[in-house]
Amino acid sequence: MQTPDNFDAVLQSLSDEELLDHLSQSETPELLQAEVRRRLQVRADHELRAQQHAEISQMVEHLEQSRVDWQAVREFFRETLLEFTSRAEDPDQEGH
Amino acid sequence: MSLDNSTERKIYGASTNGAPLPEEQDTTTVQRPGLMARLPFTGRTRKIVEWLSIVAAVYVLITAVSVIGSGFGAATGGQAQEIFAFAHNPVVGLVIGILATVLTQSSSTTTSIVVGLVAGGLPLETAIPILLGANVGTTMTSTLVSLGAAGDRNQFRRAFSAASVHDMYNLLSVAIFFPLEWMFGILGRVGTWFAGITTGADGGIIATVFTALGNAVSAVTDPGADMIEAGALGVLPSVWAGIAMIIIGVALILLVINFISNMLKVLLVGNVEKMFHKAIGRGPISGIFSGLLITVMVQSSSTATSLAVPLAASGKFSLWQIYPFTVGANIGTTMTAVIAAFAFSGGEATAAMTAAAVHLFYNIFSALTIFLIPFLRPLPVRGATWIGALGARNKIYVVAWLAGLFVVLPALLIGITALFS
Repeated sequence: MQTPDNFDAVLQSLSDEELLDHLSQSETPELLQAEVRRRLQVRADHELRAQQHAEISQMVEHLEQSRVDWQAVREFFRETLLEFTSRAEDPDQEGH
Repeated sequence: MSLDNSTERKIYGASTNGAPLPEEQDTTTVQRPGLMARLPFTGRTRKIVEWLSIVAAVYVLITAVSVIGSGFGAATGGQAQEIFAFAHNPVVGLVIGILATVLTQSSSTTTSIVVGLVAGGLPLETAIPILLGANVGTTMTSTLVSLGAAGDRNQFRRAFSAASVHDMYNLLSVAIFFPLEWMFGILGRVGTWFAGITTGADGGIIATVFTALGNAVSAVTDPGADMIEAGALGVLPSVWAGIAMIIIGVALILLVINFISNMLKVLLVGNVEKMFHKAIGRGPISGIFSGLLITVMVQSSSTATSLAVPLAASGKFSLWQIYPFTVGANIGTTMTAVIAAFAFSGGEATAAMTAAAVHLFYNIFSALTIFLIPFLRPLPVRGATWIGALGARNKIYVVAWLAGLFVVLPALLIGITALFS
C-alpha cells in the first residue's frame, strides 16, 4: 500500500502528460490537482526569478535611471498643477 | 575606452520580454563624473587612476571634516552650546537634519558635517536629532527619482510605492526613537559607550587598533587641514576664518561625496549586479545585507534606494523584496560618518566617533525593532502601498505627500514647539 509520502514522490516523478492521464481517470483527484497546482507554482516562481535576474542584468541602465531627472521632476509638477487647476475649473472632468 | 566587464558593460538579454537586445541599441554605460570621462587612459591604467582618484577623494573628505571641526571651534570660540541654543530643542534639530539633507540630497553629507561639528564642540544632544532628521531627508531623492516613471500609471504606482516604503520606514523609526532619545538618551549613551571602546577610553585591544588607525589617518590628513586653517586665519579674523573654513569644508564634502559615489558606481557596477543576483530569492535577511553592502560600495543610500525604484517599477520585484533592501541601505550609509570620524585624534576623535556611532546604532536599532516586532514590520509596506495607489490615481497626492513631508511637517513641528516653549 502507498503511504501519502511515497504517493507524493510517485506523483512528482510523473511527467505532465502522465499526470493529466491519471487526473482524468482518478476517482479522488484532489491529490493530483494539488500536484498540478504545486507544479504551476514552481514554474511561476522559476519564471519570476528568471525575469528578476534579467532585470538585474540591466544594472547599468538602472543605475542611470536612479539619478534624479530634474526635467522629469519639473514636467511632473507642471502637469500636475495644470491638471489640478483645470479640474478646479471643471469639477466634472474625468480622470488622471 | 576600455570595455572592462565591471565598468563599461553592454547590456544583453535584458529586454522585458526576455529577448536579447541588438548590440547596436545597447551601449548604455554608467557615466563617469566630468573630469574622469576626459582622462586619456584606457584599460588597466584607467582603472588604477580611477581607484587612486577615490583614495584622493576619501582623503579630501576626511580633511574637509577636520576643517569643519577646526572651523566650528574657531567660529564659536568654545561657546558652541550658547550659540546653538536655538537648536537645543530636539524638534528644531530634527527639522534642521531633514532640511539639510533635502538640500544636499545626501545623508552622508549631513552626517559627515555633523561629525565634524561635534568634534569642534557642538553638543551631542544637539547633534543627535539632526542625525535622525538626515534619515528622513534622504528619502526625498528616491521619491524624486520615482517621478520619472509618471508616464505609465502602473509603473508609477510601483515606483512611487517603492520610494515611499523608505519614507514610511524612516518616519516610523523616527516616531519610535525620537521620543525615546528625548526622554532617555539611549542613543547618546550607546554612542558614548561605543566611542569609549573604539577611541581609547577603555585601553582595550579595539581601542588600540582604532586609535592607531585614527592617528595614522589624521597624521596624513592634518597637513591639508592645517594648510586651509592657516590660510583662512591668515586673512580673516578668527570668527570669520572659522565660518570660511566651515563653508570650505561643507563645499568639499558635497563635491567629494558626490564624486566618490559616482566613481564607485562606475567601478563597482559589476559587483553590485552580482550582489543582487545572489540576493534574489533568499529572504529578507539577505535583502538587508545586500542593501547594506551595496550602499557601502557606492557610498550613498540615496543611490541604493533610488536603484530600487526602477527595479520595482518593472513589476518584477515586490515591495516586500524592496523593503529589506532599503533598511540595509539605511545601515550602510552610516559608514561614511564612521570614516569621517577618523579625521580626528584624542578628545575630538571620541566626540566624532560618538556622533558617528549614534547614527550607526540608531539605524541598527530601528531595523531590529521594526523587523522583530510583528505588528510594526508590515506598516511601512502598507503605508507605501496606500500612498502609491493614491499617487497613481491622482498626482496631486504625490505633490501633497512631498510638500507635507518636507515642508508642512517640519513647519508644523517647529510651530508647535514654538507655541509650547
